[in-house]
Amino acid sequence: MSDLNDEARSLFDAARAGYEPNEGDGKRVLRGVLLRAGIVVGVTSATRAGAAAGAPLASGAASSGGLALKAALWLAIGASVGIGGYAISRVPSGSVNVMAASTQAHAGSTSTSRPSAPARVAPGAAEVAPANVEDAATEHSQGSRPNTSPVSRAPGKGSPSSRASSASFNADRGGSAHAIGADTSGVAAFPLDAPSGPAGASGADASSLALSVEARALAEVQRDLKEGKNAEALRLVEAQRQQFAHGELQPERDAAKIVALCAVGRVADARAAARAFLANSPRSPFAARIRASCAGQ
Amino acid sequence: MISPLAAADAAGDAPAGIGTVPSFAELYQQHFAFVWRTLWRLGVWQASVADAAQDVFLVIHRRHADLLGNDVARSWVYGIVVRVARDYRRGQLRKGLPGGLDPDEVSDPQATNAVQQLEQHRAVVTLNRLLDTLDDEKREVLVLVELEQMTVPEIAELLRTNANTLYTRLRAARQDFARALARHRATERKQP
Repeated sequence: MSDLNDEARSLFDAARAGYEPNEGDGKRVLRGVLLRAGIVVGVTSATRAGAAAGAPLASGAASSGGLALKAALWLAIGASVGIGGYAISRVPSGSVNVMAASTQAHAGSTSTSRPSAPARVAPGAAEVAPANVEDAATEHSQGSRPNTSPVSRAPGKGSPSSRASSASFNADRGGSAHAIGADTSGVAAFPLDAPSGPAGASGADASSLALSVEARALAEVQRDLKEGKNAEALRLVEAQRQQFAHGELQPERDAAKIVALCAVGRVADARAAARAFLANSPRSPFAARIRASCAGQ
Repeated sequence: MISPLAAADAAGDAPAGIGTVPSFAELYQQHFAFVWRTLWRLGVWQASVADAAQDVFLVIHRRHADLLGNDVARSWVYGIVVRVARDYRRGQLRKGLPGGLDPDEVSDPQATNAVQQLEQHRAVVTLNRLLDTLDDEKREVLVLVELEQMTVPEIAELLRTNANTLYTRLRAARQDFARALARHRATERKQP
């Protein structure tokens, strides 16, 4: 895919980490959610006091079994959210078990409150009408959201945790050694039998048609990688390099090739390919993943 | 250091596998940072990101029992984020207030890296203004590729969209963005 020019790339690079939440954001939003959802209704003052002290609700809610579980939920989330931004060591060891119980109880209470489970939400559908959001906030109007006034949120503050957070998400989607190849479950979404002729691409210009053909070919490589057919993927991607010598998806092919080389154990070749790739496109969106692969280690 | 949630998972006490329904706590832990930055990147004003994130997680809290399983949670969460972000953007358009650099939100000037943080924040403001010139679909794919650094197949899964369509959309988004940046630089040069 044709890349951004250097100036645009620099702007994205400069801004990327500036969107990360800081340590307090996760806690503040969670507190607001729990209050608006009614989970901590009745202990609002305790919540505020506890949150301010960094030990929310733990003691104040202990008198009620259900409430104590919710408090434990709050405590555990508060301690773990932010991914690196919280001192986990402050959480008493016993709270781990409490959290587990809380989690289970929470799920249980949800299921019992829905005796006849409604049709489950299809992935990606997420039909969330704005009214739904408003409805969820019946106890707290938009204008009275708790503690969401913009405090001094320094962009990039807590940078290490920000990066860790990003890394965590990458890990969540398999963004490590073989991320590009191993985490290509989206390949299933490739319509390999999509319309390929002019009739199927009516209205599309020749360039779009060429891109479509190239994308389908790349999808075959990614499918093979996903299925563990690494040698076949490597053969395909090398053939496609010739077939699409002037194609737009060369960076994607190069990245897939590096993954395939790693997967078949050709580490030296992977490293050579990675060096060439990074020399040409040091700030490519794939660069971080390539550096994290066998080729970058 | 192991987190309480991770410890619970390790003990087999918490449902976290593929096909299981994650708890709200798990969803919050796994997705908060992604929700926050994506709302902002999709055009929610910085001052409203916390409110919008609350809205997202309120919906998640109400509906997470309807989720099909942990393996589709990210796609499900992203769908909610997109809806909420669009709702906020519509509200912002009605308000007609400019989104921009708020001096009160700039980092502590006494911080040793304050200059770097200010530059980063300026880059965010400039980038958001340029992204504002794109339509929603182009903005989404450009943000996911260039900022979230996802691959097109991943995005295809996330959006449940044809990857070929996304490649075409990404190309157009990059072209539109380059034009917007060129206009922005030309305007800067005209200013004293």
